[in-house]
Amino acid sequence: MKLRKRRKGILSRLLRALFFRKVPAKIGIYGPPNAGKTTLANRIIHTFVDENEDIGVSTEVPHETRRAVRKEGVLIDLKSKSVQNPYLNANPDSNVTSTPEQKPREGKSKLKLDIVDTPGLATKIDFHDFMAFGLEEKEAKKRAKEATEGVIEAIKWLDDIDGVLLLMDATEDPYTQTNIVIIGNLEARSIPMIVVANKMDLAEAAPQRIADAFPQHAVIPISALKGENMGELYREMARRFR
Amino acid sequence: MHKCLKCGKKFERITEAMLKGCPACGGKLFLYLKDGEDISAAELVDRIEVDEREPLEGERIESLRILSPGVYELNLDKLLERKEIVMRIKENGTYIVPLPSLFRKKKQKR
Repeated sequence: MKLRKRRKGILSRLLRALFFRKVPAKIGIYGPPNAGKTTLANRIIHTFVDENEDIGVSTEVPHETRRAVRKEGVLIDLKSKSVQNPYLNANPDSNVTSTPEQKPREGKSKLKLDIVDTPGLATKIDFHDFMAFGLEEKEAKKRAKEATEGVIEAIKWLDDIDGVLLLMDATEDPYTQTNIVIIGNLEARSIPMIVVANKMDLAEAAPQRIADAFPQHAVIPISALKGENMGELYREMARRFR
Repeated sequence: MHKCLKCGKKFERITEAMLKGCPACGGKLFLYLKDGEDISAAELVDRIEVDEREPLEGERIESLRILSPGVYELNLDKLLERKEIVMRIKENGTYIVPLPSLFRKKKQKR
């Protein structure tokens, strides 16, 4: 079984190398609103492209990202110093516990990807929720409409995506309809995915709960905000999305 | 036995004239009655059972419901499954299918 899996990997990699040489895999960051998708996208861009470039604005208001944003040709370099300790310079007094570096298990340490930050997937969008954050009724209704369009756009993007980082808030219950529906659909489409348990820096975070909920998938606990455990995520990405 | 639902007249069997309407009043709706059974149109309406139960999430046909301006309910299952979008406006059962969503071709892979 393991052998066959590996052989398939080699074959698809060979095919990819032959036919899709210059097309980087498109990786979509999916998940419910407020899971930290844009924070993660920004973190990846800061680490590998430009420290001052943002893919989007992240706030505590849900549905801040209402259009899918793509950043092309992000070169993930596992050997770059910023992966070893991403926030050493920017945030010296934060207690980042960097995991001991291991050699990547497979081949090359560089991986070129297109990163797509998508709007949060939700089953209900109510403008009252935005008004709770101080938005005017008119503005809140406009946002609700845009957020709904955003969900549809995010789903349309799936047709064009080669791999998914499914982000979840580790402080919340992972057994939501949204999560289960997305995972089921990705499995049906056989899109490779990594489940990312975000916000592990918070005291009430329980990444293990997510790992227990979806045992068939790789679950990587991170903190996109503080940059914790990012090295492991990048290595897993290199393994799965090559 | 056939009963005209307009005038209530009963007929043993269907005649050729009845194909154009009730010979007595011209009504075009007939109800078939079993032997010895009699029923009025009003009673018949009462007999119809309307399933008013809200369908469960998985049974819904619409991918998007607009409950009121600014309140949307999305059926992710259906949105992920299908290419087209079926919208339901408010609770009065008006449906909209945006045609472009039906005709949009799949993005060509490079």
